[in-house]
Amino acid sequence: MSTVYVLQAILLLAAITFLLRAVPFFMPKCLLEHPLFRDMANFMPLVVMVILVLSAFENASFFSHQKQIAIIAGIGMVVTFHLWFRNTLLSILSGVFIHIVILNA
Amino acid sequence: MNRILTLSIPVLMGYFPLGLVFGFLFVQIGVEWWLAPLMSLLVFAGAIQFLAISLIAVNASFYDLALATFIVNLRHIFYGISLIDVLPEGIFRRAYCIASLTDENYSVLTNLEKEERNQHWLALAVVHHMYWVLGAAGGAFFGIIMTESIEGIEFSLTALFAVLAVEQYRRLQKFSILFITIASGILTMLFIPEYTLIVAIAGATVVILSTLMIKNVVMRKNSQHQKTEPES
Repeated sequence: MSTVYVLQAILLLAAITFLLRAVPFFMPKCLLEHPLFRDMANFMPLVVMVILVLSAFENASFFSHQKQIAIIAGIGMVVTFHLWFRNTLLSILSGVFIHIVILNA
Repeated sequence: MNRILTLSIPVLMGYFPLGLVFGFLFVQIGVEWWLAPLMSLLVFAGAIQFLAISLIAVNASFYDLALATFIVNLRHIFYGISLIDVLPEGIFRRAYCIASLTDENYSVLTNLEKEERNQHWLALAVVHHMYWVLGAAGGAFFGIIMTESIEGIEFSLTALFAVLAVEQYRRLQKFSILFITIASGILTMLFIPEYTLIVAIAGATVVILSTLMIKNVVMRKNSQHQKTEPES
């Protein structure tokens, strides 16, 4: 992997992220306050995050039950811990721990 | 300064270890170690940086990278809206404050009193940014000196997304949206596995928007009905 490619990728990500964050400072208020826009602002983050969680299964072979069980257990652990203690670090560590234990069992 | 450090402690607990994991994972795909802190410095957005690791690992096209960044960070559009009035003066300060508007900076700032927001925005952003960059540098260092990688460590990416999903669900409290999204995700993975991310998100969004519109129409009809009822 070339360093130039990674540098280009980093600059691209930085530029798009900055532009998205800057939108409200340049966009007319009436457009931002449109109900359709408001609704999407409200529910889109949940939709995107849930799909990103599910995409973990994409790379797991359909027949590799161990990997799938490891993913399900990991997600279950993270969700349970986070609903319970609401400590990001603890939730992530517990999920990764269970995932690795099952994967290497 | 003490006030800034006190305010930033919760973010320190989140950013530093997460930065460590990011730096660690990033060097696993065989990039130069300094690219990890550089990316944290320039991009400063957790979810997409983690996702970018797997995209860069497979030499993804710039189009795919741009699309993923757009989808994952679209939510940031709405962060600035509630903070426009308290943006510090000066073009460089402004640009930096906007560039560093992460999920965490947004939630810390919006929890402050209005006066403090304007006063502390810049300093808080800089301190949080430092935690994130130092974490990435430390993680990259560990990743380089550790010769054997651990199978399954990349699950921390999914774990991070799951945490953010729980936070969002807590805020929204709408089971229907969660259900539609999961259904859309599973259906897309089964039938259109090539473009899961974009198709699943688009599918769920369209379905949710349509149900919202139908609900609005029904509600409007009901309220009209109630208004006209006494007359008839």
